[in-house]
Amino acid sequence: MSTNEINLCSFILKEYHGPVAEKVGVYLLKNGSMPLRMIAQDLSLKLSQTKKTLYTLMQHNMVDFELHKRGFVEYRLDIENVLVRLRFPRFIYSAKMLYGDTAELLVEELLHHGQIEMSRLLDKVTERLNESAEGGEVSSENVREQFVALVHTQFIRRCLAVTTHTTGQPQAIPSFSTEEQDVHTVPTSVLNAVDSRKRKRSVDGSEQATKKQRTDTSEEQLPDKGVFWQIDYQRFNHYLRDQHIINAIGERVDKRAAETVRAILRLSELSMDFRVPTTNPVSYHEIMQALPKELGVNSETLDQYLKILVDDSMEFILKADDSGGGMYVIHLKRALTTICKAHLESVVRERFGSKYFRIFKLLMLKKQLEQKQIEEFAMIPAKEAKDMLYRMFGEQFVTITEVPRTPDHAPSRTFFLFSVNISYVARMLLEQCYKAMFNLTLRREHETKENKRLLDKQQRVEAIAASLEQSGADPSQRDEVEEMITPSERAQLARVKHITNKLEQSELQLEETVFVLQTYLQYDKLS
Amino acid sequence: MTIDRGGGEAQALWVDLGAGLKLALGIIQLCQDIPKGITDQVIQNDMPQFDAQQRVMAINRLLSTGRIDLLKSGNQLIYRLKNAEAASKVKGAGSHEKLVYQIIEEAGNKGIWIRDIRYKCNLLLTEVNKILKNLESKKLIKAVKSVSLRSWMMDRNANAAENVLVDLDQELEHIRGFICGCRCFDDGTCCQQFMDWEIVDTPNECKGDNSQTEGLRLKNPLSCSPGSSHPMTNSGSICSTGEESTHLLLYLQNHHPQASTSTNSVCLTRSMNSADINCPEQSRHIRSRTSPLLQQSAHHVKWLLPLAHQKMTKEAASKKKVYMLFNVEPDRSVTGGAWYSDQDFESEFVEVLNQQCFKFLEQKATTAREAKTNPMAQKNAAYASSSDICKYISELGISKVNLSVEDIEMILDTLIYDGKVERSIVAGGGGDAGGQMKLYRATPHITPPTGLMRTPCGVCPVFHECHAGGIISPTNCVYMKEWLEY
Repeated sequence: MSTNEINLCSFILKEYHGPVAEKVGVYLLKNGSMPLRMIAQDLSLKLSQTKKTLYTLMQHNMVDFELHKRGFVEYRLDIENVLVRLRFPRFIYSAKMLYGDTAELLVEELLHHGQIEMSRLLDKVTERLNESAEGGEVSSENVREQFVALVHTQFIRRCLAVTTHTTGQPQAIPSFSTEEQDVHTVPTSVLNAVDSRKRKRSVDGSEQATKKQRTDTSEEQLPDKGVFWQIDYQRFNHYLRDQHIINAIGERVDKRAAETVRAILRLSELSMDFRVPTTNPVSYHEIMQALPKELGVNSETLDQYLKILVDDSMEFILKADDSGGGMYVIHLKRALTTICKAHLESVVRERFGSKYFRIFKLLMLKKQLEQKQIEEFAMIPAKEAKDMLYRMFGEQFVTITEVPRTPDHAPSRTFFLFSVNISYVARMLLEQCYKAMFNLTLRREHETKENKRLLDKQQRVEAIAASLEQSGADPSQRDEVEEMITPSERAQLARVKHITNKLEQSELQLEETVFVLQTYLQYDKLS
Repeated sequence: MTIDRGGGEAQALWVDLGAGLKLALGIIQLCQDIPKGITDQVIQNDMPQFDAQQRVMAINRLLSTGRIDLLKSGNQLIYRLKNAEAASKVKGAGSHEKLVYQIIEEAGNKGIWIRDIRYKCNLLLTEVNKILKNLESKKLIKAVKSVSLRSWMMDRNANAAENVLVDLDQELEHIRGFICGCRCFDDGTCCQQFMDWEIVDTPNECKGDNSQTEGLRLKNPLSCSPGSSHPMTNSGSICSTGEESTHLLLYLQNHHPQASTSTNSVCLTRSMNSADINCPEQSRHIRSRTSPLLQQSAHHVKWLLPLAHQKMTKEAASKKKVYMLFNVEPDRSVTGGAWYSDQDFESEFVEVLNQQCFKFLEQKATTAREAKTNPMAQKNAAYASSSDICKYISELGISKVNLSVEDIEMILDTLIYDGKVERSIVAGGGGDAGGQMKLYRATPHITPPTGLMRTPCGVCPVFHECHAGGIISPTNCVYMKEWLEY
């Protein structure tokens, strides 16, 4: 955990959960696992306040707890689950792309609440859909189907259930059922409960949306009480990872090759263990069937595509076996390494220039080289090459190995071999990404703070205008209200909007780099 | 030495001179008849009227005037006529100048380094410098700056290793020559000479390692490079000439039979090899006396020879001035080939070729993509062989120099390092001698510019000094301001 990472976490916590959560979070990050009383005491917070903060963080899967062997409970902040907050927009977008608007809202609400019961989630989403949809009512049946589909494709998982302990003695922490395999199924009891409630509702008559909320506030009425659901971050990460691989193939070969790869990934995505470096083998016929018909790929073309993919110098796709018309696997680790390399290369190319990039790539291809050899291979004049090499060395993109010919390590009798350590560079860049992300968010906050008065005013004016419209006032009155914002103010508002948009867009792009680097480092750790 | 032929002294001298002249002319005639060279036996057979003394005198005179060469074949001495042309060119020059000229001539179009000249002729540096300047002003020789590319060009050639070995062999030759020439070899005098040597123990400067390295050093501080305490340098320089290495060998054998440290083994190896190859009486003598030592250091040879090679390559790699005859066109390895003009690397030329090659490949890839054939055919159509590219480049006429396929392959290699092109090798596909065809294909980048580089922070020069609330901070960042206004 670096300062940059902690800074970023603290900012995320502050932005989404307020200053107290930030205080607690940073304290936990800096001190590791801590019991409740220590947190409250060291931060001079009220015990109840601390408790509430921890509840919130736990609700959002950020805080974990465990029993210390001395018998007290310690709380721990999971930094990955804090940083994953930056990826939420991407999760929501993925859900929308995969399953449409309903799924988008489901994921959005679920992310918003952290953990929630199925019935409550379905109600909220149905309500929101009906609010936005002009005309046709969206049936809650449809929403329920979408939810079940998301659970089946493992994008949503059930939170581990609390098992009631038989001994009767009060325990320090609740124990959870450890049956991992059924987290991706909707229990029939829950389904029935939700359905029966629906029926009951419809019997009750068309209750209004406003009233519905009131009934929800009383927890006892929920039929599926105690069964909570949450987003499976891991699954979304895998989905995003697969997208990166597919895009890379798309750029490298063409769209249809990318579809082939997508088919292979899809076929093995649900039965995959995260810790293996390759996907499960998929047979030729399965791929053929999984390919969308409108692509017009016949068996001959598919054969050629698979051959191209297997022969490709990136070596993403391997032929595992000849049985079943050929079994194909995707080497995820290699794929991630290649993609990560491409990102590192991109950084070098953009930051230093193409000549530097040539040296960097040369070192990646040839592993260990002496300075002289670098100049010669890259065909760059010695003086320039030296300059470039040392600058990259200074910025830690290139590392050096000393191979002494004599035991005294005298420079004149030592070989200095330059090389690129990819995981080292990736780690360094990840740090830089965190810092850059922090900078961007800070700047965004700064811009909003600078123009707070103006933004507030705009909000007020819009609210008044909206209420006037609702009450049926004539347009002239509305125009009058809207003219309270002067043209110069309007220009300024447009500027602020432009700036925040730009910053937010950059944050999303930056997050992509962070994602690639993080995933690469995960796979790098595996072996 | 007096030759008594009876009669008056003056007359005797005259007769002697006349006879000597006659003999000398006879020898030259013989040499001209047999260009391969003649032995003493041939002279004796041809002109039996002269005795050994007279032959020695005549040959000595011819040698001193530079008319004939004394060579050695097996264990026989051979006399051969010296190149008349060379002799005429350096007419009027001193014998030293002739010697240097010959050495340079031998080096051919590869040229020879001043240190090697000195090393071969055993003259003082100042003298060699003077002679070289003299010869240069007479336009007999020229100095050529060798380029740094040299060692690499060697590597690329199939006989790269051979070249290095030739260099090494030349040195061995030298040592060998010395041992042959070492006419009077007497243990007594040797030991006398070796009294100047001492064995020194040099503590290792390496931390945590208290072992000591045995080294050799001259007692005389003048011939020992001051300041450097490491045995490698000292013994290295000391043993650089054949004479000393032989002495050293003997000395080691006499005084320090266990000495087998890495520091002196290089020269041991050399002298051992020379003794091994040549086996004249003296070296055989050395060998018989030193055989235990040789065996002992035999296992060092294995890893020391590569080291010696490396040293050679390094020397070849550094930019240095070499001398060659004035009318000789320098070798490609000296000038660096097509990428050098006046010993300067033409980076612009390389850049232009790099771009043109890429343009060619990219065009090929685009036409292949637009052909809308099946994917396999598309991929194959994007490939171009190195000879095709070479033809294209020469047809473009951007290069004044004739570029070979290897030159183009070097350019294409840089494109591979640029990440724009990939290579695949097809065995037996082309008309190349190696039965290998190198195919190249333009490939696109697999990712767009990464997110980090699309923010100002990615290229910020003061990124590491930037902190929230600092003098440089994201809230007052000028780069970010400009970027946001854009």
